[in-house]
Amino acid sequence: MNAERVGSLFWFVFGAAAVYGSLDLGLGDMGQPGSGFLTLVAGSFVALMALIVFVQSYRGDPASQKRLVELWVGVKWQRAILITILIAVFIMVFETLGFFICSFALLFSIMKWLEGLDWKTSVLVPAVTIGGTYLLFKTVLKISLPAGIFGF
Amino acid sequence: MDLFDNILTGLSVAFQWHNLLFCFVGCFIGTLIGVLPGLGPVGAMSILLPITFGISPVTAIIMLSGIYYGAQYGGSTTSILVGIPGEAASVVTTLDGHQMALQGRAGPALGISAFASFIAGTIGVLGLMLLAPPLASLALRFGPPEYFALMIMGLIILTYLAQKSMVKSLMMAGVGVLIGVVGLDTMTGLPRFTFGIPDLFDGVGIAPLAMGLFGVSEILLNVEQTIKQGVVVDRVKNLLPNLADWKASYKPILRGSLSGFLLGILPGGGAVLASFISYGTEKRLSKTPERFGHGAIEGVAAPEAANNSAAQAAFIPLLTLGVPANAVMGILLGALMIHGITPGPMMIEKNPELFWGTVTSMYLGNIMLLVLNLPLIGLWVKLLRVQYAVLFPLILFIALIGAYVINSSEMDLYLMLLFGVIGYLMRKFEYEPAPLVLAFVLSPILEDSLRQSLIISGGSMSIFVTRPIAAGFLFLAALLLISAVLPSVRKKRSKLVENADENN
Repeated sequence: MNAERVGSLFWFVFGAAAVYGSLDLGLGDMGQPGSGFLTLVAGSFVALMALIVFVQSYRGDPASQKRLVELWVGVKWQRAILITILIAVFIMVFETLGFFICSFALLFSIMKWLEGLDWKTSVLVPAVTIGGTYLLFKTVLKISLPAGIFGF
Repeated sequence: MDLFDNILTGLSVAFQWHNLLFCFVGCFIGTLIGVLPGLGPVGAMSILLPITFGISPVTAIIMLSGIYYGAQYGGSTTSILVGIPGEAASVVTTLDGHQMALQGRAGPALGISAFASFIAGTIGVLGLMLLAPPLASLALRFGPPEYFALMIMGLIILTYLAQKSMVKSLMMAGVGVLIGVVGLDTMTGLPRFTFGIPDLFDGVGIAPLAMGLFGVSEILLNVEQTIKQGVVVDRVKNLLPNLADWKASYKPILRGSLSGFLLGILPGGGAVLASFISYGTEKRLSKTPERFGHGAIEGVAAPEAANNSAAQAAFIPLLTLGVPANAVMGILLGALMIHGITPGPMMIEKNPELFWGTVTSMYLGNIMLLVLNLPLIGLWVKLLRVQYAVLFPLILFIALIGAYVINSSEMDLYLMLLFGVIGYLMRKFEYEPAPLVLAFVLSPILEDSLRQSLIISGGSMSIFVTRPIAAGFLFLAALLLISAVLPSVRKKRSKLVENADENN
């Protein structure tokens, strides 16, 4: 699959969905534009531009165009996915387990497990960073951080 | 009040100990993020936005501005010593700066880069002082149609200057407008694209959006690759350029400062473009263009001067018109709004301490940066030796906590992650995030001015062409759009993009 076409099709659908949503919001009239007026214009514009990119992909030199899989060839894409999953898990449990546990678990798992750093670095660097961040936000700026079910 | 009184007012604000401290903190962080590849000023400023909540608006803006222009200084260190740009505006500096370092002239390269930045920064601040007040007076004549036309022109300029496809950049500007209108419509009270999620009624925040698109996406892209940072020198010696270096550099510095300033004022222009153009100009003007790319000191002096004066000039449209010239200024606009200040023509009159305090602090900041970047260069060399495997988890952690504390909202974290993934995919598919962020920031003003214009004209679009200033802006925008599709211009544009890619 041609990467350019896949990308443009995604944005075409995005623009078309915005147009559809705009109609629901109400367009008003030219003298009194409604909530959907600008979104209709912007959505149509996005869809039109996506269509141009799609058409252009047929006119360019095929040799210079990338296939979808080529975007991930020669890179360790699994690491990007793992980081995304780790962030998602961090967000899901952040308010429940609290600032300290989640932050340490996130930093330690990336440094030790993903990056293979030594124990000293993987424990000390997160500990100092988390402590410093807590002091800055909680003590200096008086901004609360979630304590979680364990109360710290 | 005349200029002298205003400068005195500014100095009295800038010299308050807490403003001096936060100016230093901003310059330090700016240099730090400039030195570290992978986190630009947009990401860093968004991450640090919550820190400004507890301080006064003047102090907050002084610190955030310091981060921006400090990053322009710091970016050159990595470009010269490692050969990879620490910051987008330092891409061109890599070409000759790193060659100089390989030839054992890292010291003069870093020295001329810091001095050029200082001179240009000073010229930029002077220009800002002299130009902003008259421009603000002129802007008082602007009504909704003029604002609407100006913003359209800014977005067109930004997309015209995009490094990749202009069509894709225009598309991203449209996407930015759509994301910017999420939330309750201020005029009708209707929720737009909120999908019934109450957390979205206030709209999408600039911080999760910018941190996701610029910060998280950058990390996701970098972890896919093995980053090896090889610093070419252990200790940097002879930082002061010799007489021959100065002789070769003083004209490029002055030309770079001037062109950078002019390009920085343009909405949509900025430091990156200024550095590329000044490098190209010097190469064309040189009697020995073949030296460029092989360690010509002019190739370091000119772009460094240009990106610094452009960084200062970019404050003009924001502080006088309330229109951010680029994504960084968009973050500053967000910060001002959070503190209850609306930038625009009346800001200089209503908040002279804020305007003149910020501007004069920039001059002090330039002096601080000279100290940070020359005598303390050893510190940054040491920092460049820290592994990316240690740095990126910390950047990610600070971004996550920064996004959370703004509203103590889990939703902001999810949004940041979502925009991080979108930003990652956008870069893979060669879509630029900058037009999206700028359009996102501008969309509320854009919509209000469009609506007001149409209400004033009774629904007639002719209001945008019958008022001379608005018509002028739109004419320029149309000219750029038309020229972009002309075969000769397209050819030149693609050549420029190819050059930029090679340089990257």
